[in-house]
Amino acid sequence: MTRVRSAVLGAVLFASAAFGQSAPEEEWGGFPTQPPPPPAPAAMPVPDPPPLPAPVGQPAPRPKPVVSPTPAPAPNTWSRPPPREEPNTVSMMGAPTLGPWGRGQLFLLGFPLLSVRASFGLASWFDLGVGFDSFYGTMNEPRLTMRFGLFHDDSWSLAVTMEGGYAWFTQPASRENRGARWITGRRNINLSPAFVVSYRSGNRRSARLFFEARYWMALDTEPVAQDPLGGVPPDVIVGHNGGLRGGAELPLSTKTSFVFQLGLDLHGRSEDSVAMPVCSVGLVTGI
Amino acid sequence: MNQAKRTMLVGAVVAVGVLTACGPNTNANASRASGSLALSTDDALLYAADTDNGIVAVIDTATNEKIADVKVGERPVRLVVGADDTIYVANRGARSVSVITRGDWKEARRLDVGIEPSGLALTPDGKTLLVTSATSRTMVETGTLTAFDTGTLALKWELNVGNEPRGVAVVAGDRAVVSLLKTGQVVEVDLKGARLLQQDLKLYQAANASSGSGSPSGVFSTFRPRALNDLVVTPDGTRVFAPLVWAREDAIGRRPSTAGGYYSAGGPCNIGAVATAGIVTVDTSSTPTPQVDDLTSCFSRGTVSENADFPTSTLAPRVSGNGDAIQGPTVGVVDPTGSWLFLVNRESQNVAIMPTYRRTGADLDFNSTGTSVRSLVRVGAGADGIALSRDGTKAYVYSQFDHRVDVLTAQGRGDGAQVVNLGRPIQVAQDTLPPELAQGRRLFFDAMDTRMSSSSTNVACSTCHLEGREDGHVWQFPDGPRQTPALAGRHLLSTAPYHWSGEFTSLDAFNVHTITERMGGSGLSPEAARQLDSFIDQLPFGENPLTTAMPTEAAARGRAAFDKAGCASCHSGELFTNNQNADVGTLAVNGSNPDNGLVMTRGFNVPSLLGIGRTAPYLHDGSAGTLEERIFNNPGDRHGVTSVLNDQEKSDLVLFLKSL
Repeated sequence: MTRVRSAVLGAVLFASAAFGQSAPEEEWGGFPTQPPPPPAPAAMPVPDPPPLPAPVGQPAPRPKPVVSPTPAPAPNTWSRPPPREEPNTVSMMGAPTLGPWGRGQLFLLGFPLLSVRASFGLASWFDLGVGFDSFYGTMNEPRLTMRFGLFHDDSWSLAVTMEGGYAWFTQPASRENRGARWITGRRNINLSPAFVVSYRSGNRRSARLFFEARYWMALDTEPVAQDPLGGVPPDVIVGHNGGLRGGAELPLSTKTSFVFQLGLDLHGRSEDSVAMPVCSVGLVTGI
Repeated sequence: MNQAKRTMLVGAVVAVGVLTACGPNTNANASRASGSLALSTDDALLYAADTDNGIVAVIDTATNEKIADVKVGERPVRLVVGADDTIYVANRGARSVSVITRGDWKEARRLDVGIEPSGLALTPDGKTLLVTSATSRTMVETGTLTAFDTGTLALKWELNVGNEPRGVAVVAGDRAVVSLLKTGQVVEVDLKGARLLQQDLKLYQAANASSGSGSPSGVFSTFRPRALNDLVVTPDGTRVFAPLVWAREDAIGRRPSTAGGYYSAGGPCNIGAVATAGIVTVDTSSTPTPQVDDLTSCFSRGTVSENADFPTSTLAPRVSGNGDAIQGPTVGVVDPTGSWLFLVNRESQNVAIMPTYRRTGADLDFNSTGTSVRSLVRVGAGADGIALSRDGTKAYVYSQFDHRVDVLTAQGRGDGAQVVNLGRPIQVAQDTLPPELAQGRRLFFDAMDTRMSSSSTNVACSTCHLEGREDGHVWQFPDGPRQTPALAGRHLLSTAPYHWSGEFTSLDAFNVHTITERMGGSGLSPEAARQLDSFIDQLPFGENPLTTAMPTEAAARGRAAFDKAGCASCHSGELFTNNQNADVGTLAVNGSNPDNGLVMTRGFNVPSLLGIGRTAPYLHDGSAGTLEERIFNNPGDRHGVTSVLNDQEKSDLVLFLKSL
């Protein structure tokens, strides 16, 4: 039942993302379903003049376009304007902030978590958002997210993020054996600061790479006596965990990117798994 | 303050508000002790009820020295401590509960209750004391749950709850559950309305759910729960554990003594003997629901059942074949965190420790043992009390036959951590029984002594003769169905021959057969055999509320009816038996397990009628659930000439029999 629920939820999320794609935004390419413009009639080849040597410090002149001796008849279809290469500035996994009143949503599907985020730019250096993480129904955690931009230029960005949330587990800690807690390292209250570095080459269509180093404090408010006569545990046990994530946001349009990430979480509590790989794919969109 | 900062502040306040509102529910009903042992609220004092001596010993836990003895009623068996440190003691031999105030080491008050009180519990608010009694003050076939106001010690109400109640536990929602010793039932009671909510939570049906549909593993049997001495509740009151012993209902084959005897093997899913210790979990959060492995389908190890969130329903040591066993669970307790269940086993003389909500994990060995027991710790003989310290680091266990307290603690940490006996017991009292009887009692209740039972069988006499009496179970032996006969109070040395067939002319000969052929023991020396025989002969009689110095008028009429119907021709003399065999028309000649052997020509050994009122069901095959059934349904006058009696005389006869 849980798997079915998770599958349905995942489908809904991706359907939402797909639906968001259909909203008008600055396109970088035609939709596959649109008919391509008809090919221009063949023109007489005109040899190019030999190129002139470029003066030092001057850009090379653009080659002349091919000129048809007779103008081609206008195609009898809607002609698209040439695409404008507006940059994709919507990042949810990386360091760049959304900017004032910018919006961003993230849908991630993978292991161990299914994640949803919605963030809003409240300042050029600060995003505030909400989110929801789920270990496929057995751990569910609404989260509050913050991102503070520390540095940004055309290629590099650096930010500090802070996430926190309260997790509900379908199984009490006493009943769980290698379940959501063991796999995710999370407990009832989780606080997680992280440094995020992003890099993007000059090409506006290029992928935005990101790397994240995360610490998270897991506050266990229902600690379990691990051993008989091992003593009553304190009311709250603080667990210290860390994680490394890397991945890329691959822009699909001015506001939408495909995203993937790989990583490794390291768990500090002895009753949790020592390390757990992380692998996710999803969408980032600013629609 | 700019907009961004304001937003952050509001968000933080909202987050804190949300997070702090999401804490788990708090504990409703913490219980850290059960049976003959309890700790004061501050853990400074340990109280041990010593049954033989009729005292409550007060022990300083800082020094482990006894500081006082409090004389209470006869045969104190269980105590409980209230939030105000008042101590309540159930006096099984005195139809009463003693009340003791901390620091004033004498009995302050004695409350009258029913016959043989044993179960005690306090409601979470501490305002009501609940007491179970084996029978009511006027009826032998039903026991009671009695409620007292702890402020005034006044009786609030009394309720008939069923046959031979023992354990009682208060659960969430102003309810209590009560266990019935022999019938294996758990009864649900509404404490506010003082009424029964459910007469039977149907443990048997849950444990034998696939009965009749066969078994994928080839094992096909049904098992009856009985010996429900205690009910153990989790700190939050939402889960109750019922320790018990499963009794095989299907045919028991002949197995040679060298292989463990008749009683070896044949347990649920090939775990244990024909009588195997087990536990049933009851979730009480809404409608009480038994959580139990389906013993008739044999849960598949490593597949479905390993994911169950309750202890395995059969108990075996974590490491099989190392000479350990689990038999005769008497009392239990859940640790303050609700994570660990401690089960005291009188006949195997140990404490089994298992998780309350899981059965697998790196610290358990479900796959090779089929059980979820993590630790097994040896304690003294006759253990029937346990108390855990508030900090969850110590367990105290009281052993009645040794009159001592064992102290248990943890050794190591992590998955390999074990609970160990510190080996420095606190001696509380001395034996009051003559040495011969004391030794005989140890033998009777010992499933670990290889003279009595093989190491692959691990049953004691008391595994079936509960409390020296009987378990109401009908065994399908090779010579036909045979109900466990009662021993207590029947002066067995004077009632030879023995066995339902009367084939053994002396108790010693019968014991030799039972011990070696059935239990797989190596046998007793003549001295040890004499000790065992003496103990069995002097087992205390089950108290009877109808027993009076002078018979009541109805009982006198019943005696006349008894004589009129010719009952006395067989049930003669002071012991109500002529020690002969008789055919009373109950021979089973058909069916899956017909009678055979001696009884076919001689009939059955005439049993004594002493204490018969509390030994239902009746006849060798348990075919009469009540005495009324037998007296009013006696075709052909094969079992006394009851046709000469009118209905009133028959009723009087039944009352007379119950008064014996």
